[in-house]
Amino acid sequence: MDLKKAGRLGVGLSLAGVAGIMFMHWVVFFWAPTESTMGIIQRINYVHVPMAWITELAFGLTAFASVIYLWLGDDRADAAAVAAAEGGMYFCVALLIAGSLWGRVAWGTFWTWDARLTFTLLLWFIFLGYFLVRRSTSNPHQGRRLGAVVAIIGGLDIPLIHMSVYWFPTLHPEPVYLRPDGPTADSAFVITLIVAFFAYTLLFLGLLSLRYGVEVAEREWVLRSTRLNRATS
Amino acid sequence: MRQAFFYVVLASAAMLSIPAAALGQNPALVGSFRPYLFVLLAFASGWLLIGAWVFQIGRKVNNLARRIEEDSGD
Repeated sequence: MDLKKAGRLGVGLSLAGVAGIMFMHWVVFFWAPTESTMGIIQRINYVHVPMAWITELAFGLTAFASVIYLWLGDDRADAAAVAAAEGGMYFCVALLIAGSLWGRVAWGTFWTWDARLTFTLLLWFIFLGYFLVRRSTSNPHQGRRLGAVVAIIGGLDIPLIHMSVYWFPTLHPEPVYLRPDGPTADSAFVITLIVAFFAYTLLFLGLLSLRYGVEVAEREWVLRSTRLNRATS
Repeated sequence: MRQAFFYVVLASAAMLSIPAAALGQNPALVGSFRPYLFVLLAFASGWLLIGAWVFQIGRKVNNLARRIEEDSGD
């Protein structure tokens, strides 16, 4: 996919995502009922849960693209991995902030070393390491390969985050919506969450597409200018 | 870059105007302002971080365009 195609797709999806998020805000603040136990603070779920999904999607994509890169050596897979990891870093911070705000009201603390919270923070640090490792060598190809290994290790943390509430049950509640036996919440809450999921995912995919296009274009330019310099020298 | 900034500010204002309007219309939300403030902060932080990623992408596009322009000028 070239920069123009990626740009068009990215802008289209991003605009659809922005419109979706605006609609989602209306649904969350005007249509969705207030939950009887947690009250208004439950509305944080409509940003916290989609952010969790996108964080896992982004870092999962990075790990998957890294496997492809190590296997086939395709530069486009590495470009996709970097683009997804970069988005994952931002969405993961948003996830942690939203969770902390919810925790302050629900648990009385912004942070606790609960298993799910700890594994999520660990995921963020692993992918911070991913970017540091990539820049740690003067040989960009070696940096990319080392980064891919770190990304795959980070990908292994995703199922741990998911299962931690069952394996190490402490403070973080078990899933209410994404359960094998179906959601336990009222349908209005589920519909609102689906709208939020859809809107944030569209925006993420749009920005990912834009970022991927920029990454590919940048690499093509570096390759072209290196060839040109060699030819003229 | 300036254009990206303009769109982010415009979208942020539009986004946050909806919960702000809800605050004005729903007395139950005003009654429990602190939790509502936390809800607003959660949504705003999400939007802020997405905006930060948009800025980063915009900066990369700018840098690339500048380098290509410099190259073609040589």
